[in-house]
Amino acid sequence: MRDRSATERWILIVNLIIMLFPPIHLFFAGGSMPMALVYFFGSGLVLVGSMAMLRSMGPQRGEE
Amino acid sequence: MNFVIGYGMILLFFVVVIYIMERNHRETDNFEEFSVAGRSFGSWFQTMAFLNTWLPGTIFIAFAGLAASAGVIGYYVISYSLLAVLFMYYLADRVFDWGKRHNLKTQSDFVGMRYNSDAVRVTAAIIGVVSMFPWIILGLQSLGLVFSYLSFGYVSPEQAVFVSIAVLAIRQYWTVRLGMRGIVISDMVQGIIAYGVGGLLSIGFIVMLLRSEHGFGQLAESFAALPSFGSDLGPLYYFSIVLTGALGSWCWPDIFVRLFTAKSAQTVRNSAFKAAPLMFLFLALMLTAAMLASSMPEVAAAPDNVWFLLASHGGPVILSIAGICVLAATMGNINALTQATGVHAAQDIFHVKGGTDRQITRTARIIVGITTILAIIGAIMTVNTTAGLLTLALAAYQGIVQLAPSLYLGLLWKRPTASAAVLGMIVGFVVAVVLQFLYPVSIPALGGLTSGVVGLICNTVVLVAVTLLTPAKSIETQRVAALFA
Repeated sequence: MRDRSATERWILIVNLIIMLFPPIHLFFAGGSMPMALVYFFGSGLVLVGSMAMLRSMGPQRGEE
Repeated sequence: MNFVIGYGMILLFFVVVIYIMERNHRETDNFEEFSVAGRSFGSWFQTMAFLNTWLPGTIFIAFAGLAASAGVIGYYVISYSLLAVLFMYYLADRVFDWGKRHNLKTQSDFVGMRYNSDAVRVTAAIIGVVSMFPWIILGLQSLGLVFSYLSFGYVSPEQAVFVSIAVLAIRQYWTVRLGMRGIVISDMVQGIIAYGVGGLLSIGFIVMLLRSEHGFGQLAESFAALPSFGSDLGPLYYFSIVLTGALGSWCWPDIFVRLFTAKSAQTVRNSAFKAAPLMFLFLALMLTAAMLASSMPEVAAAPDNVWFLLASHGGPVILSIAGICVLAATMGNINALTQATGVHAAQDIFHVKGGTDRQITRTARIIVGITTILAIIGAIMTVNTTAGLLTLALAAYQGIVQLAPSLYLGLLWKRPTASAAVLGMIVGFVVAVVLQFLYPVSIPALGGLTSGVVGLICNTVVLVAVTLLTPAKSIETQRVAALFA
């Protein structure tokens, strides 16, 4: 079983904070459509980018 | 003529899916083959199976309707769905490894093995089976909308529910016979249609809306705001629905079993890498189209019909293709739910003390058939009462998430015991269901927390307290240490 690296843990924590921490989503989605879209699309892109980063870090990437 | 186009395309869709399933059919009474398809699928099949189970037909109806009626809050499905994919990456190693090492086939099997307890296994199976049932009925009702729209006025919404029931009853023959292999293969075809074609249609709808003066500038200011301080729902409402959705993701038995059908842990990780961008693209496009359409008077009057109302602007062929997208998404979800119900009830409830592969497979097939019949009866009885059923289905969601503390803490922490897990699940489930009936949307006195989150808090407190107060015996501690090694 692989041990989790510090980077893997931080990726999880950062994404959880962005998606769940109320002050962040309440700040962005407060009535301005451009700001709200920046939050929803931006947080989604950060998570998709995080997945790409995790893939590039994997020791046996691609192998199944 | 339009009727022929609509129903003809439905027929073509079923013929193609069934042909592909039959071509890949393997006759067997082996329960591992029936329940997890021999752990043989690569990452593309895994990805599409996950998407087709995770995004049901109602994503085009109720979720699109939320974006069309309330704005950006409808995007919450993107947040919790992507978190579910991220969790898939982190769960892959341990769940796949334990699953393969102990020949586990279901989620209840998994927690039962972790806690070395039939009580945990049966409790988890009962919560799972009970929570999945309302969603099967809702799936049948979603199909009704497809058959109604694609008849172009020949079939009323009430009659369409009966048509969809008849079609599903025929389609379930292949689910009962082919088991998980048939489901995963059909998920590939259905997923490409539902989310590939559905995504392309959404791009067309967005272009059409922007060119006909239904842009972001026409949206109400309230569409850009989440419930905050001073609102009826409360500032913690959005946090609650995303948290419940994300933690609940791997509590659904039909979703969890996706971790067991893969060839390897790396396959599961690879499918997470593929699912994240596909899911994000499809949901962002489809929900944006639905939100932009809110300025159309017919959509404002019936937001849940937004997908069909948009497609109707493209003529009968586009409307039929849009209906097939909903049909494809719904079929994948209903198949997964009925299959998971059969496998869980057979293996983790009726044969919890053991049985031959042949006996368990036979019981699972019978239960899939009985579940389908019960769901059909449920759908007929509730043909005009979807609102009450939706409340029950949402209550079921608040209930299913109560598996989360036992599941996730059991994976991360060696100390939780069987009695702590069972007590936590029961307390959390009861608290969540009672609060759900008292406060169906959110609890204002708690800042907008939902019943499921309050249940989760109680559940976790009970699990941790019982674990610390009544530590496991040394033989159990050694067993768990070996499991984590």
